[in-house]
Amino acid sequence: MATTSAPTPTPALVLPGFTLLAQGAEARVYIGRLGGLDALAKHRFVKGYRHKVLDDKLRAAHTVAEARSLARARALGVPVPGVLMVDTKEMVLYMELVHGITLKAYLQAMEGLEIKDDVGPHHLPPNAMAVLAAVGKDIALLHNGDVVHGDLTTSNFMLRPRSPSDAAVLASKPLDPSALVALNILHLEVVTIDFGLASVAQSDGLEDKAVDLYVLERAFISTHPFAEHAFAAVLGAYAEACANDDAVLGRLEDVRARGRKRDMFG
Amino acid sequence: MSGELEVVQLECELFPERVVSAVRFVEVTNAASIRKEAMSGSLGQLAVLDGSLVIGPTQLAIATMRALLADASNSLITHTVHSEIIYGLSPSSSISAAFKNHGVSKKSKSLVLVWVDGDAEAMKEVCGKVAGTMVPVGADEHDWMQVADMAAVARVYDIGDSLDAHTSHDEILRLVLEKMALRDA
Ligand SMILES: Nc1ncnc2c1ncn2[C@@H]1O[C@H](COP(=O)(O)OP(=O)(O)OP(=O)(O)O)[C@@H](O)[C@H]1O
Ligand SMILES: [Mg+2]
Repeated sequence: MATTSAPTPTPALVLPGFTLLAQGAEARVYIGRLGGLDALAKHRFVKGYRHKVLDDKLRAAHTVAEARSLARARALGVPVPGVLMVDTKEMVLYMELVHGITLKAYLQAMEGLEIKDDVGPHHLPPNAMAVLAAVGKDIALLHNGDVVHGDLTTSNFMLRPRSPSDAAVLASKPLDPSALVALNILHLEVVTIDFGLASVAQSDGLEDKAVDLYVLERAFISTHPFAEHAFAAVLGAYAEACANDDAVLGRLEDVRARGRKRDMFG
Repeated sequence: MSGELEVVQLECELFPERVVSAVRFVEVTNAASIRKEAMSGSLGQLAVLDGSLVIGPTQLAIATMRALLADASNSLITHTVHSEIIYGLSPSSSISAAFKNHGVSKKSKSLVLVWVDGDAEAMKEVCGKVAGTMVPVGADEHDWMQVADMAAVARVYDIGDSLDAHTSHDEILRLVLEKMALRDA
């Protein structure tokens, strides 16, 4: 293709009552209300540089795939935003808005905690470890059902308060680390979001599942000082709940080795 | 029917210029004749739903917005916006299944009537023809789920496997909306 012109920015979709929250490479995300519920609308916008027929097909396929993946994840017992409506004409996926904070924000707040005990620096208190274990278990449930998330980062897990008083702690700005760390897993529900790149694992799915974990591990390492310790909690719970953990974790070793090679010679 | 109409305005946020009204009847004894009139067109433009699968205003609003979106993009599957509301409630893409399950039947014991931009006088007149008890429709889903036939909801929406005695109303609503939405996915 010989198009050299920059992609023309497409005008934002007018969704009455909705306001723009974020813009990604493929989609704009809006917040509003639908049928009286707080809702998030994910609009996959026109990619001007793609042939129109192909573009429409791809946007529809991705919108539908994300809705199906969310439903599939819920059926596997993984808390995810509920699908509210799918508009395959404008390519908008309406889903339940999760009130809460991202795992990323939670872990960043934890960095502000000074933990004085004999375990040593750069580790996390038990409540935080339990949150991370819930993350690992949810990934295992997805993988057991052959759903590969495709974009596991600490931004794509949210922590949802289970009661109004828990909600108040999560709503405080800035977050109060000592109040936050007092909340255990009975106060916080882990909700996995952004199934835009999710897929059903092909054949044995080992490679896809291992890469899922590897991507999350890199996300931890790049952002959090206690990454190793934290990710170990994720992996430990994953192994416990995963049907074929030996095979996946074995493959994860291979994926890491390839990653190191790339880093050295890349 | 005498007295005030217990009309709920459904929140159809994507169409702020449309007024969507709903009323609900229980202990209906003349569903067969209402059905006949609805089919002949003598009730005017409205959707006449069997109430047993209606679990709340959110579900109705979303079915209505689906219908209005289809209308806006000239892609109605049925003949009118109002019949499309009936179709919008359905988890199945079969039109006949949608009407059979969600539309008024001869045996309906409860009814929900929905008007898009309905005329107050016309709404009153239609309500007067229903032999039954008009029940106040709070915005509260709990209240609706007490009247709905939850066994039928579980069957038609195929969510029985996800339900137990502890399943909350919110969770049931979420499952039902997901089944409705996934029809298009
Ligand atoms: N259901 C939800 N409830 C609350 N917030 C959400 C929800 N879904 C997404 N978000 C927020 O919106 C952001 C963007 O959403 P999402 O990741 O699904 O879109 P995206 O197009 O994939 O964006 P990106 O390319 O940045 O990943 C998320 O990082 C999250 O903060
Ligand atoms: Mg994302």
